[in-house]
Amino acid sequence: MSIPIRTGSRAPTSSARSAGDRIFRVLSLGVAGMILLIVAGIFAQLALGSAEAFALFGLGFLTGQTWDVSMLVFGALPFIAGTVATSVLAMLLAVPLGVATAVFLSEIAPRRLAIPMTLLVELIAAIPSVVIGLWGVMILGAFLRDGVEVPVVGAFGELPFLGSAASGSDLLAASLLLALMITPTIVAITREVLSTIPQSHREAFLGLGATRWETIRAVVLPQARTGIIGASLLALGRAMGETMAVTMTIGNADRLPSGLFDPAQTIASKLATSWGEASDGVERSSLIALGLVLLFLALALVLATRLLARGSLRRSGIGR
Amino acid sequence: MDLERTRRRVTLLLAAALVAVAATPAAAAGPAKPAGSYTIKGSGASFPAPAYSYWISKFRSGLPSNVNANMQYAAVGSGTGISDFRANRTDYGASDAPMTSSEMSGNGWDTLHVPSMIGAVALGVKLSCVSSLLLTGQNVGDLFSGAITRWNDPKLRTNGRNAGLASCDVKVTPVHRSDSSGTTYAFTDYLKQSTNSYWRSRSSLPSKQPSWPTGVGAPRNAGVALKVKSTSGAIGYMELSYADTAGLIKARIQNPRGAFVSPTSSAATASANAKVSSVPNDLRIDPVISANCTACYPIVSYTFWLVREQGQASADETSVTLAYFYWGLTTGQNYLASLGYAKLPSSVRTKAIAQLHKVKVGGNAVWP
Repeated sequence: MSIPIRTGSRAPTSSARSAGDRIFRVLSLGVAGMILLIVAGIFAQLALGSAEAFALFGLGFLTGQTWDVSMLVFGALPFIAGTVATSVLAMLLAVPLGVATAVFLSEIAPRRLAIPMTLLVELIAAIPSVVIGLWGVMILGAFLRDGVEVPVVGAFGELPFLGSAASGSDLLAASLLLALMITPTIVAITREVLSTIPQSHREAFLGLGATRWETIRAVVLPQARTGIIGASLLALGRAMGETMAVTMTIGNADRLPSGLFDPAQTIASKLATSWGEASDGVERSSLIALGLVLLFLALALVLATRLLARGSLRRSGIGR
Repeated sequence: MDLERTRRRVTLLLAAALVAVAATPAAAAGPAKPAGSYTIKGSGASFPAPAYSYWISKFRSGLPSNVNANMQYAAVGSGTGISDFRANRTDYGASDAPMTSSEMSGNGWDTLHVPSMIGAVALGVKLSCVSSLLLTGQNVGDLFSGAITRWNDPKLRTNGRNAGLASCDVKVTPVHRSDSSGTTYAFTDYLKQSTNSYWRSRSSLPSKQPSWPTGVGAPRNAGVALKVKSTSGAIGYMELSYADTAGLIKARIQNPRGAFVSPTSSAATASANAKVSSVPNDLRIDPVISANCTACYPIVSYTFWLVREQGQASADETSVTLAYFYWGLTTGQNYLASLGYAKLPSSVRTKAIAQLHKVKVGGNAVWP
């Protein structure tokens, strides 16, 4: 890529340049500082709001399994479990699918096919989550119930990690829907990263007699690794915070699910269904505490992904 | 079939309207409707929402041309309705359960409860193997506690009932509300008072948002109806009109006299009439009516408007709001049966109208 250089105009004098630099420095510092301030403010507000809940339940809030407004007993474990289960499942499905699609689009598919397909994938990203949720309730949920869950439970009874509720509104439906929603993000970013890898690298390897698959595996993917990890992080963030589609399909049960076929609740969906009606102080504080937990959960998952990525980079000798 | 039902409903409504027009001597009675333009906001219970929106359109079309009332009702659920009302975000609230003493204090005004109508909580069922269903109180509790998990359970077929269920090897999916709800309060009150030992032992009931041992949650009456409709083998509790609209099987439920009664407008009125003597003067009626009579449907609930005794809006606007309540308590009552709700007993209606006289703005009664 070449940078256009204006040759006709006079170069600015050095003093004007340093004044411009200084203004730019201050401006960018201010904006960057503002982001920090906003994040700190969110943290402080959440910590302040959840103080009552943590004072009452202590760390038991994190391990409590009961959420009962009438008894004023609040435990976050069912929602933590629901959030982690749905987002991890969605990532397990969406990352391989998304990366493979991106590789196909940028490395294998002929242009005639790649352009309309890219457009279609981006179209999925543009569907409002409430529409996806509606589709999840009416079509996906019904299909999972009658086509998958009821036959499986009927044939094998209650299997471990599957559960037996089999109503079509459950962890499985929500996870599949989330996977569908985050795949376009992964595809779009990965495709973008792949397109920055110089064509000469591929040609060099192909010239050595490597097959196309070997080139993709040894040259293309390793160079795109950090980009793919970045894409996955963005997707993970979306999966953990997605509210509408999940609320509509997860079955909204404030219990620890025993398996994929059981209704559950994520932190985001719990906040969405309960915040409006939470008039009591302890309930409100507990819901804010859930928000704080979600923030930390997101932080933990992001760090874990980074560590995982760094480990794998070092192993493959591409760390930078 | 849906079209036909709608047509039948429209015909019924027309008939009801004719009766109403004939029965009301002069529309002049009730609070004044001063000329002007008003925005009147209410929010709360989804249980009576279909009736309220019908009422509002009828009431507005009957207003004099110099009165322009923009009336909004948001069916956000009783819990949100109460918090909106307490925070002064709405002109009136609506709830299926009366406000608690702590909710009524510290608002800067006194709250009047005005019952507006009665509704039956129907158990809507989606099953293809039967077209009707008779449930005892014990059965209802078992279905929602997870003690009965399949529709061919012999407990549902005692005494020669529900013979068709024998071939119905379908999973039971109980559907409950995921939000705080007056309908849930009414239903858990019924469960608590039933003979089912699991529900009798639940000390925190009745509750607007209990923890459920099993089942799937869905938001608001419409959400429960949709979930039941789209799930084979599902059973959910909802206001009668929602079960009608969704075309679900409405279970006939055994009352304390041993009769299996369908949720109908007349069975709901029968229940209310049988318990009229226990209505307190402030009208904070236990919303759930568990009457002991042969024709009585066992899960029936009052629903309330929440009104500020010391009005916070202008006297003119408050007067139009009161005129709407008055219209609902008089003319509006005649539409209820065809909408899937039931009339208030006349003694309760008289007391409700008396509540409207108490409303003051700036110390002066709006409708003396």
